[in-house]
Amino acid sequence: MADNKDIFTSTVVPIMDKVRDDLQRKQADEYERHSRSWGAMMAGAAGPDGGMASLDAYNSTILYTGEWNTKTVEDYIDMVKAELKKKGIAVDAVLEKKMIDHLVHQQMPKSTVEYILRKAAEGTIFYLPQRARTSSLQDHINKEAERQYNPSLASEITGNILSWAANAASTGGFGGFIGQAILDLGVEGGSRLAPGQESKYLEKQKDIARKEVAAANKKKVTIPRWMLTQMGFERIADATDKQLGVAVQWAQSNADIYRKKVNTAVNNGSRTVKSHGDGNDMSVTDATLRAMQYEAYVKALKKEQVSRKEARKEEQAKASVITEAEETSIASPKVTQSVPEEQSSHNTEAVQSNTADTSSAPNDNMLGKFGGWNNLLDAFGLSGAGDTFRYLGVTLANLPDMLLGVFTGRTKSIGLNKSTMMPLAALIGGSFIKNPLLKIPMMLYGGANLINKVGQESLAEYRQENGLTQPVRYKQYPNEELNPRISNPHVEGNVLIVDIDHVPRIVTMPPTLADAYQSGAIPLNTLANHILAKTDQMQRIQITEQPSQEVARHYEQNQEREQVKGIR
Amino acid sequence: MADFEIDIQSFDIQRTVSVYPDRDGIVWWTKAWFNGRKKGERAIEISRALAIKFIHDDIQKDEWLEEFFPKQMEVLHAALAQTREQVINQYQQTVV
Repeated sequence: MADNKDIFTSTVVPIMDKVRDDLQRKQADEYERHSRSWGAMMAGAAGPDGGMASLDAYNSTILYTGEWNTKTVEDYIDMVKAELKKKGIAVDAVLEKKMIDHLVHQQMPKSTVEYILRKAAEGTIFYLPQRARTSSLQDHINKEAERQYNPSLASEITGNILSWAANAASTGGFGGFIGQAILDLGVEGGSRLAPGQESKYLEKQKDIARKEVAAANKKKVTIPRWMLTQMGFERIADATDKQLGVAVQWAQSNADIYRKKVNTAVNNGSRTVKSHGDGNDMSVTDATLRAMQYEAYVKALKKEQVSRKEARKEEQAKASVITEAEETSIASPKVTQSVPEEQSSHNTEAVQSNTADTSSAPNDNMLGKFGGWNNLLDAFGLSGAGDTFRYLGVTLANLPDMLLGVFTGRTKSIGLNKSTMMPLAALIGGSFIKNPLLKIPMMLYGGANLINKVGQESLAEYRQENGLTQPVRYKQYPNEELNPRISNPHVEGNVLIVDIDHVPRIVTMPPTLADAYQSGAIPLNTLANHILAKTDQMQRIQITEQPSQEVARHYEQNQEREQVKGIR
Repeated sequence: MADFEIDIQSFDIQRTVSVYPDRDGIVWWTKAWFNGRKKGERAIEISRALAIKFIHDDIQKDEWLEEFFPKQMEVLHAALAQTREQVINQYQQTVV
C-alpha cells in the first residue's frame, strides 16, 4: 500500500525540508560573513544618511555574487533531486509536480491579513532586488499560490495602497502625490514586466511535455488483462457480441478522454494529468500510454467484430438474410463523455482543497527563504501578524494590561531595546512630521509593529493559559522499514489503527505525537515501529509488576493444557 | 519520542482451538470455537504426529486454523476488515 502519496509525505517532504534548512543555514552564514566583512564596514562608514543606503547596496551584492545566496528554486529542486537519488528515488514528472505543488501550498497566504501584508511588501522598492532575482519557477510558484488563494478585490487593493504608502515613507514623499504615483507605477511595472518569468517556465515545461508525448507515442503497448476482465470476459474470443459492443464504446471514450487530457495538459505547460479513475496525478507519458492501450483494445475488439460479421455473412449467404441492426449500431464508437470529465475536475478540486487544509497549520513555520517576502516582514517586525490579527480580540483585550506592564517591566517585548527602537523612533518621528505622506506611513508602521509585538506576547500568554500550543517544529525522523510484526498501519486523527502480531489494535496517541505525524516529522513506518516498541515495553512492565501472579497463572494454564491436550 | 503514553485497545475476534484423541488415543481430532460461542466448529480428524506438533507449540495458532478451518478464517478476516473499516469511519467522523 506504499503508494506515491505515502512516499511523498514520508520521504520526499522531509528531504525537501532538510535540504531547505541546509541551504538556508548556508545562506545565512554566508550573509553574515559578508555583512561583517571589511567592505561592509567601509560602506557603513560613509554617506549623508549614515551609510544606510550604501550598506544596503553592499549587502545586496551577496545576492548576485554569493555561492549560496545566488541559488534559485530550480537549484533547490535539483539539490532535492540529487538527495533523493542517493536514496534510490527517481523523480518523475508526477513527483516533480507534487514537489512544486508543495512549494505552492507553502507559499499560499494563510489569511487575508497575511495576503495584504505580503502584497504590500512585494510592491515596495525594498523588494526590487528580490524581484530581479526571481527565477521562472519561483515566479510560477508565486503566481500559482496567488491564483489558488484567490484574493478578494478589496484585499488586493488594500495591499497595493499599503505598498504605495510604504514607498512614500521610504522616499520621504519625494515629488509629492504625482511623484509617488510615478514611483509606484515604476515598481509595479518592474514587477510585472521585467521578470515575466512564469511564461518562460511554462514554455519550457510545454516543450518537455511535447517531447515526452512524442516519445510515448513511438512506444509499443500491450492490452492489459484488467481491461478484458473489467468488461466481463477473459479472452476477446469469449466475449458475446453485446459485450464487444459495450467494450468498444467504453474503451474508445476512455481513449478519447486520455488523449484530450494529455492535449490540454501539454497546452497548459503541465507534465501531469489527473488519472480518470482515482484522480491521482499521472505523467503525460503514462497517460499517453494508457490512451494507446485503450486504442489498441478498440482495434482488437473491432477486428473481432469484423471477423465475426464476415463469418456470419458466409453462413447467411446460404441461408436467409437477417438484418443486423444491433451490430451496426454498436460499431459506431465515437461517443464523447462529458460527465466523467466534470467529475474528475471536481475530484481535483476536492483533493487540492484537502491538501491545502492539512498543510496550512503545521507549515506556518516552514515558509522558507524562497518566499522572499517573509524576510521582509521579519525586518519590519510584522512576522506572525496574521495570528495577531486573527485573534484581534485577545490582542486588544490584553493591550491595556500589556501597556501597564511596560512601566512595571512585566511586558518584555516592548521596553527600550533594539527591536523596539525603530518603531518607537518611527512613532515619535511621525508625530513631528507635517507631510502626511510621510507621517501616516511612519505612524502606521510604528503602531503596527508595536501592536504586533505586544500581540504576540499576549497571544503566547493566552496560549499558555489555555493549553494551546504554538505551531511547533518537530525533529525529523528518517523513514524506517516496517517491522514484520506490524501490518496495515493507518492513522486517523490521533488514532493509529494497526495489526500487531496479526491482532488488530486501536492505539490512541498523545496529541503531540499525532501532531508530529501530521506535520510530516515522523513517517508512518517509523511511528508504527515506535508504537510497537512502546507496546512491548508496556507489556514487559505489566509482566514484571505481577511476576508471582503470572507464574501461578502459567502453572495453572499448563495444568489445564495437559488435561485438555492443549487448548489455545 | 521515547517518553509518551499510549492507550491500546484491540478489536480482535476471540478464537480457541484444541486437539483431542478418542478413548484409545489412536484417532485424533481438532476442534475450534470462534467468537466465544459455546457450540464449536465441526471437529476435523488429524494425524497423531500433527496433534503432538500442536501440543508442543511447534505450529502457530493462526496457521493451524487457516489449515483446518479455512472457511471460518475467511469469514473472520472479512469481519475484521469490516470492523477496521467501521472504526476508521467512526474516527473520520469524529475528526470532522
